[in-house]
This record gives sequence, C-alpha cells and structure tokens, in this order.
Amino acid sequence: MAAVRPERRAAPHGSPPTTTAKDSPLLSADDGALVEACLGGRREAFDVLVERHQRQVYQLCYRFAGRHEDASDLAQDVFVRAYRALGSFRGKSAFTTWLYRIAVNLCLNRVSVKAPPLEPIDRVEHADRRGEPADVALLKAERAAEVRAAIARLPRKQRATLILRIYHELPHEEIAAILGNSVGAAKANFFHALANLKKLMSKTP
Amino acid sequence: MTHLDPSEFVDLLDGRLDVARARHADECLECRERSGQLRRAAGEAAALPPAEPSPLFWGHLSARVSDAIGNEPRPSRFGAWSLWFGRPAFSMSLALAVMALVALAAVWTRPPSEPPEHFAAAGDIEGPSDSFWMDDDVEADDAWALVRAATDAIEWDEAAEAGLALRPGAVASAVDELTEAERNELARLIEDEIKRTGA
Repeated sequence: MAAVRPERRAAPHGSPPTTTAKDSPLLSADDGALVEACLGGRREAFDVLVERHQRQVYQLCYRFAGRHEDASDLAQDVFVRAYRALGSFRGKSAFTTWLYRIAVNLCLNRVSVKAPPLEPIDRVEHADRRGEPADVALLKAERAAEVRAAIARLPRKQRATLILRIYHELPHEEIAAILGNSVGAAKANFFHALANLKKLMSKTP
Repeated sequence: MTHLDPSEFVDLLDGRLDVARARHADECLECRERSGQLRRAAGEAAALPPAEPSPLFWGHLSARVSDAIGNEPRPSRFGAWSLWFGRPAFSMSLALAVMALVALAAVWTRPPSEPPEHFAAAGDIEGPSDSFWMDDDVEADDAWALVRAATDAIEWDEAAEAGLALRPGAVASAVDELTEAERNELARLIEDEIKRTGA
C-alpha cells in the first residue's frame, strides 16, 4: 500500500540569513557549534540559529494557533525561552528536537483546546487559487476551515502528534522524544488523532 | 488472524507494515475500511496549506527575537540555576539555589570515610598535599565573598520548609569542595541577577 504522502511541506531551512559577512564561519557551523558559540559569549550565534529555524518554528506555532499574529508571538516566545534554556542543551538529541519540545510545550500551554479564533475565510487562504472557479475555491476554503477547526479540537497530545507527523514529517521516534512518549504511544496518538479527526469532520454539516 | 492494532495501522499508512499483516489488511474488510478512513483523514489534514507570511516577516521576526533577548543574561551551562533567579523573592530563591548547589557538591565530593581498622595494614590512604589546598584559599576568594553576602539573610528554617534539609555544617564543608572556577561562575550568575533585578 502506498504510504501517506502529504502534499505540501514547510521549507527545510529558514529564510536567507541576514547576518553579516564577518559571521560567515557561524553561518556554516552546525547547530551544536552555534550553541557552544553562544554559550561562549557570541550572541550573534543565536541569531543564526533563529534565522535557520524560524520558519519551521513559526509554521509549527501557526498550526496550533491558527492566526498569523498569535503564531508570530508564539514563535518569538519559543526562541526567547530557548535562549534562556540554552545551557541545558547537551547535544544528546538534535537541536531541532530540543527546540520543537519547547515550541510544542509552549503552544499546548498557550493555545486553548476550545474552538480557536481562526482567521476569517477570506484571509485564511494562502494557496494560489487563481484559475479555479470561485465556487470551487470557496468550497475548498470552507472545507479547510472545517479541518482546521477539527484539528484544534483534538486532545492535546493527539493534536501535537498529528501536527508534527503530517506537517513536519517527523519520524515517530522523534515525535516520541519531543513529547516524552514511547514510540508505541506516539503511533497510538497518531492513530487516534486521525480517527477522531474523521469523526469530527463527519459531524460538520 | 487478529485485526490490526493502532500501531499497525500507522505502520500500514507509512508503508512499513510487514508482509503478512499487510496481507490481512488487504483481505479483511473491516481493516481495509478503517485504513481507508484513516488515509482520507490524513489526506485532508495534509491538504491544509502552510501559512506564507510576507518575505519581510522573517527579518522582522529575527529582529524581534534579537530585541527580546537583548536584556537577557548570557546563558550558561549553569542555566538551570537561573530559573531560580526569576522568582520574586530574590534573596530566598537565590540563597536556596546556592545552598542546593553546595549541598550537591558536598554529596558528590564527600570525603572518604575513615577506613576500618583491619585495612590499616594495607597502607595509609594518601590525602591531598598541603600545596593543593594552599592554591585554593576560599576565605580570600572574592567570588565566595559575594556568595556569602547574598546568603547572609537566609533563614535556615525557611530553607528547611523549602525542602532543603541540610545537615549542620554541610554548607561549610561543601564550600571547600567547590573549585575556584565553580565559585567564579556562581558569583557571575549572582552578579548578573543583581544587575537584572536591581536588588
């Protein structure tokens, strides 16, 4: 059977860095080296980490928050918390795993599990719908809003697991590490997330 | 053969289910229907496009983060201790952090107990030479002076209530076990916190 192939993924890296030419050794350093450089007093090393991972962090926050402004605030807070806790990163896991753990915990704590204040339909669409008949585009937009609302109503860990698996294509082992679960529990959460999503979407008129 | 369990359904969606169980999924109507439902739900979720803010947004976000951390103290490997420093009761939380650190140092570097008498014939255990201790004069250490000043106001009863049950003399003995580098780092953290809170 064919594996699940999500249609669209976030870009693997952040936007082009805006650090200066003199920081070029930092630009090519791996995440662990950047952490050490920052702990050693080079604050600009953290700027490189932000630029490198901000897109992924923002997209994760957006999947939870459903609104650009809230996602932007959450993403900023994720990086501030990461900066404060940088000394606790020991390199035993990937930096992204550690960063995602901070992001998921913050999003789960901040974002209500009740119906989220999703952006209006006329603002929500980011896909290029040019060339589609207006009624088709509207139906797709409405369905997308229903799916978003259903995801927002999932239990916390199921929601987090689904977001990390579907939109960030993380393996179950990494999801387990981020959420503090076993791999079996991560898979079970994903199964129940999909099953509940199906139920929630089938209830919408 | 039993139906697929949740973990197996996920493996099936990922194309990683072993051949025998995948054959069951093909042959069993219930499992086939369930896997179809899960696949459709995953497909609908996956179809949601990502947010694509303006290209200018990323520079703004980086700048906001940079501004936000501008007033933060430099993170360090002692970063976990800095979590204590954010508490409103600055003196208490700081003093508790200091006591916990020296108490842990006392536990980790507890001097060996007196050898039992019947081992005496194997030879005396050599202790550190005088020159080792003379290189690390705690009482003359400025860093330790700062730590002592910060903890002078501590009430031992409050410490016990907070769960730090130190035995009498533990802090004093533990002080000797902190290296000069550790005392300097602790003093730096205290100074950063003093500057940050204006205490």
